[in-house]
Amino acid sequence: MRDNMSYTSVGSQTLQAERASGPNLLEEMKRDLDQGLVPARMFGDRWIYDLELRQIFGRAWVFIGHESELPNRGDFALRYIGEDPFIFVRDADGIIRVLFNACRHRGTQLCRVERGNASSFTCPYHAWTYRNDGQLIGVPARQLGYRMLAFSQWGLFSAAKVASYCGLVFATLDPDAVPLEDYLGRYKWYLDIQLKLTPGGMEILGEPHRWVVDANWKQGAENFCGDSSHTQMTHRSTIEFGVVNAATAGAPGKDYGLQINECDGHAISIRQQSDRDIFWEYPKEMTRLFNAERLGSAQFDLARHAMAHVGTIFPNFSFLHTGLTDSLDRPPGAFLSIRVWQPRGPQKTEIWNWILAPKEASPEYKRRAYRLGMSSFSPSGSFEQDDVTIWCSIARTASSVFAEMNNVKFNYQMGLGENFDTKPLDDWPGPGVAIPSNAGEGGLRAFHWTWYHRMTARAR
Amino acid sequence: MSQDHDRECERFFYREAELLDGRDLAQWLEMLSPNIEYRAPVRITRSRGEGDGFSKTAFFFDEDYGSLKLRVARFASDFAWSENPPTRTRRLVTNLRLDATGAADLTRMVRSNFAVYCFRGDEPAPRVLTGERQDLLEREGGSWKLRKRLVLFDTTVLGMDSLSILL
Repeated sequence: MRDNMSYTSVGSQTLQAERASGPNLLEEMKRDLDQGLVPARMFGDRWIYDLELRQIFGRAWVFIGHESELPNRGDFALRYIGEDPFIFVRDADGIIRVLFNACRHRGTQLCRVERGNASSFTCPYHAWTYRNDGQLIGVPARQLGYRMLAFSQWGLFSAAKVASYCGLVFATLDPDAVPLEDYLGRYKWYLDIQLKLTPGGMEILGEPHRWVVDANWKQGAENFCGDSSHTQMTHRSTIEFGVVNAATAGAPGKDYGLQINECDGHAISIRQQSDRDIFWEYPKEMTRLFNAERLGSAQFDLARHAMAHVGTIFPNFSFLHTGLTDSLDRPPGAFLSIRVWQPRGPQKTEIWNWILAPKEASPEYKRRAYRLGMSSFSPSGSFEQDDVTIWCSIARTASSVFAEMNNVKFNYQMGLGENFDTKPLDDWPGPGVAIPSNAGEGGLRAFHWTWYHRMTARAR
Repeated sequence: MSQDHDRECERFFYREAELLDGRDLAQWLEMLSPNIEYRAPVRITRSRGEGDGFSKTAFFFDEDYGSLKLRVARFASDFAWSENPPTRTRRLVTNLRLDATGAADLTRMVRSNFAVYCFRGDEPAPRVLTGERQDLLEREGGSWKLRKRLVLFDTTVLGMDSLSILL
């Protein structure tokens, strides 16, 4: 290895390839992360991906949907944990369930549509029938062929735990997982700011956008942890053409960018201005409805000064609350987008994107919020398009033989150690560590630390 | 007379496709009515008998003239990375079904099928989007303008990394 190629020189390329393989990647990871390095292969390696499906998606709390998507009993939608299909349903008693979409007989998928309403699910193969809470209620030729079948043992499998927070429904496949409230931990303080501005909270405006991109799921998840510095370049066209103002987009070197992490495995970045009320650019007709009833005064102050709040709940749920415009004829307005970066392969992600507005908003404002979110963060979104195009190119690097043979590490050192002299705020009113700078990748490093701990936890 | 109008309408769609494939977006804007309503609803798979699955509240596009103008303006930036280098598209517009008559020949409702082939970078295989468009053309000062468009995709989950093109 030549020194001018700037990587650790350790011998033959075969040895490097071994070292870059999945298991060794994990072994080296702690040392890498201490130095602010992340191995390229983790964004494209099949062994790592398969382990993620088990260690991460098989154990963490994963976002399924919003309660407001199932307004009526019997409403259901087809959703996923990792790549596995589940029926997200509100049963006849009003309880929300997450049921594995497979007949207990011989595995046929019961739910073959994306959405509907049903009091029961009947398998098209042999007509095994389940109530919408998963209970088995019918099999063919019961007296002739299933006389001893214990129905109570052959209901649909369920996710181990299902819980919701402010309408966000999460599920986990790990029966030993901590309760959702503990999993969210102190991060709830930041979630509350997005979701508890009004008595009715936020509601979903329509079915999610769904689209498949050729990138690893962690690209989006890590970016929304606090990649404040990408907006200036990736989204330069939106700033230049007046979709968003530069401050909201996170111009570095100014006083109003914050990155918060060490918050129970989750991260958020904030752009704000303390000298005036902004509320993400919601118009007066909306801010009139906001109050601190469900929030503490420190939380409400953050809402007051907010230009953008962007965060990720590990592993793959992100949100963005911000203001911008979709037309130069209109002033900016605000919307809340939530999304899931659903893994579909080492280099495939299905992005699910929902747009929300306060329940009490007028139909006109709901439409406006929807259009603002759609215009910027959706498949046709002025921001989203440029993010995705870049993330897809990273996938090519991550899966390259070159990266494998040379054990390539990516540089996540912005704001790390001696690169940085901004001190965390010691008077920050919220949980976690708040660093008053946009010039850092601490949130992304925090994401990868959480990832590392979960990947190396003892298997179930 | 009505045959001439039919042909004019057809030519409208072929001209529009030509401008969009040629990325003459500023000229394409001139084919739109200032009151344009341009929508592409999200679609979900429903059971037979429960409708086509087009959403009333979720859209890939829900545009007026101002928002389309801003989209077009932003694409002119060198920093609009998803379109630099530009997607190479080929629109096939077929199966035009023109309504029998519009009021005083001032409006026409037209349904058409479309297939847009999208080629990006050095990927040899295109992404393809197909569907139906339901359009309302309005006569304005001697020429047709697009007043309303409803784009009805055949797909529910998009197989493209973004919709950085207009349909």
